[in-house]
Amino acid sequence: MTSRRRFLRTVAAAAALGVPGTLRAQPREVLIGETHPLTGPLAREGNLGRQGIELAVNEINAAGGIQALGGARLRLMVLDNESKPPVAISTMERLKDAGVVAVLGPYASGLAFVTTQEAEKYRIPHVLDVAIADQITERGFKYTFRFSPTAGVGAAQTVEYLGGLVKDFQLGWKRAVLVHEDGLFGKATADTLQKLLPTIGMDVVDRIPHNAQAPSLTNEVLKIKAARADVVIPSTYYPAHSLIIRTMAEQRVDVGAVLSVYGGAGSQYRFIKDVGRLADFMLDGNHWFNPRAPRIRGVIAAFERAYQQPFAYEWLLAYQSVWVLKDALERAGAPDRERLREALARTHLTDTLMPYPIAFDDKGQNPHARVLLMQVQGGRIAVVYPPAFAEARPVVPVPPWEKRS
Amino acid sequence: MTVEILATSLANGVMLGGLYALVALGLTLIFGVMRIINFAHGSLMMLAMYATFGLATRTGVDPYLALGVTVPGGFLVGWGLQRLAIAPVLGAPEHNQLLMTLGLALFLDNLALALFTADPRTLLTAYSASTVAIGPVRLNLPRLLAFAGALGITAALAAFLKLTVLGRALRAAAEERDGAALVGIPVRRMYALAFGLGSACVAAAGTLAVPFFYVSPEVGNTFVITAFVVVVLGGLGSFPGALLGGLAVGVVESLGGLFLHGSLAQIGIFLLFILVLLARPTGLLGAAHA
Repeated sequence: MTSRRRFLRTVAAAAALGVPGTLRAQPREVLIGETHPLTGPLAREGNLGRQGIELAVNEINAAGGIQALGGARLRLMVLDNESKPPVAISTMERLKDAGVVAVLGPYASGLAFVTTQEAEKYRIPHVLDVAIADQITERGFKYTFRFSPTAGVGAAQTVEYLGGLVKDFQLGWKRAVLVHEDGLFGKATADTLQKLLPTIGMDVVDRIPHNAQAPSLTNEVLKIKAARADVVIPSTYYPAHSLIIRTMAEQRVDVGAVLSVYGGAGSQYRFIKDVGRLADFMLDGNHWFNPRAPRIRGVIAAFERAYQQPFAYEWLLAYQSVWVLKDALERAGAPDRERLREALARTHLTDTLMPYPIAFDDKGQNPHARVLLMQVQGGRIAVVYPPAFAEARPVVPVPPWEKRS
Repeated sequence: MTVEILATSLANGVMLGGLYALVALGLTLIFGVMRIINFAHGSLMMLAMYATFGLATRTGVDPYLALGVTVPGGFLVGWGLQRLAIAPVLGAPEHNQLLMTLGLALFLDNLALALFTADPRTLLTAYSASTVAIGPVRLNLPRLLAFAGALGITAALAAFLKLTVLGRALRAAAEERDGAALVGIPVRRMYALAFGLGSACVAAAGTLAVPFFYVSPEVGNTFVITAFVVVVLGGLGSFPGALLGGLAVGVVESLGGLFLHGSLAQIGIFLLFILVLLARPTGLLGAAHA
């Protein structure tokens, strides 16, 4: 009934106007799809991403929408993929059926592998936020766009920054110890680091795998002590990371620095909130904002006002992904998937909140993407390397436990 | 491998073993009396840990004082659970009983996930990183206190079962259900008592673990899966067996971790498990009827 009535009304309206549809005003809304893990094990990160996207969309709409489309407002269709790849596939299908022009999300690599595949199949441009696995953009997909750094780039740059620190501060560090959880993530990161560390003149003197759910990591910490490490590099999940630091404090294991790559803890204000001063001086190479970007303080303040949460890079990357899409929509000039894809491929954004310009190579990866090196200093996360972005001087070697209050 | 590392690791294993024993004690008590494997044991531990964390952060009291709340609270929750959920399935086939306790565990874990989120929380006290130095060996104070507390509670419970009338009645109900009922022991109430006591044990273990560990919705599994091994190793339903098994597993796991990497450290536990069961199929101190 409803559809027949609506059909008749549409026909009547068209007849009354007597003009073909194309001559009428541009659509007043552009439908954007979003798939994020809003429940399940990745719920925290997924919800941060959702908030970042929501903030950007509200800002864009409040400022007059997409100019090139006659001020069309962005409308979001947000679907929860429950942290599960099979559900992520079905969210992509529903977004396609709803007619979205592009899809944002999905935070995790495991989810991005399937969402990018579906996006390719349905020819929907897909701008990723965080997912770091290198392989995502190595499958020759035409509809996948990732502006943020990959796992490989993050590891290589963090090691390069470590080499820079050792040289600039004449630390003379040689001995690195890798502590990794013995699943796929920890082992793969440790393998990469083991290959990279010799390039800056460091020896991996020990590799200490551990069970991420172990009730005690005292043995592992004792092994760190025995290895007389200059740098300890944990690649593990957040709870184990926290337990390692606590046990190092308890056993008074002093090292030059604890540094991680895409760490589960060092770039997280929730970690600092959780363990307090124990988090001090931890170094982490990770996604971060450009502290020199003029707009950044205002955006962070707006986020904190809207959601009462401290800064987290998860939402910032999602926020930035909306602006990448907005820029492309302006240049595409039509809410059309193909034209949007072409516009995205020609992106060249220099006005970003990230410490890099945004453009895409023919694989859809941003070749300029980079991580920064942060250090926790007195409860604040400060960029300490490279010098072009640094907000504070790195504290290395870190003070011994006995001398900390 | 220095003597210092070996000694620290050994001590750490003994301390952790005490806590395993306390968790296992609750399990073995419930099994010994009711012949029910309580999969919700870890969830009760997790709830006690959140209660401790909440009390300590909200009111600023010392986490060990939370024992005064979590132990009676654990008892009441255990008693209530037994009456509401376990008693109705006691006569049911075993797999139904398993599903009931497993269902309880899933429900409680997900409830915690919804209430407290998946973020692990850490309770830091002034003495969290305090150590007691014995020669070159540094013993973490909270772990040492957990060990002492676990031994104390085990001793108290053993005394209760051996020396009091109520304790004897409980043992009678465990050993010969119909006979106990014939001489006037309220068997159904004894079952609720056993479940309450078992839950109080694991609640105490939870509180004792908070100062040196973290709290998260799935944290119970870290301790309870090992405790299942301890229970069978020591002999199902055997108290001294749980203590002995707990200490043995703690030491084997810790020393194993020195020589084998990561998750492989668990191999030691299961090797011990297989060897003991081959030599003594009812467990270290298990009675023939178990």
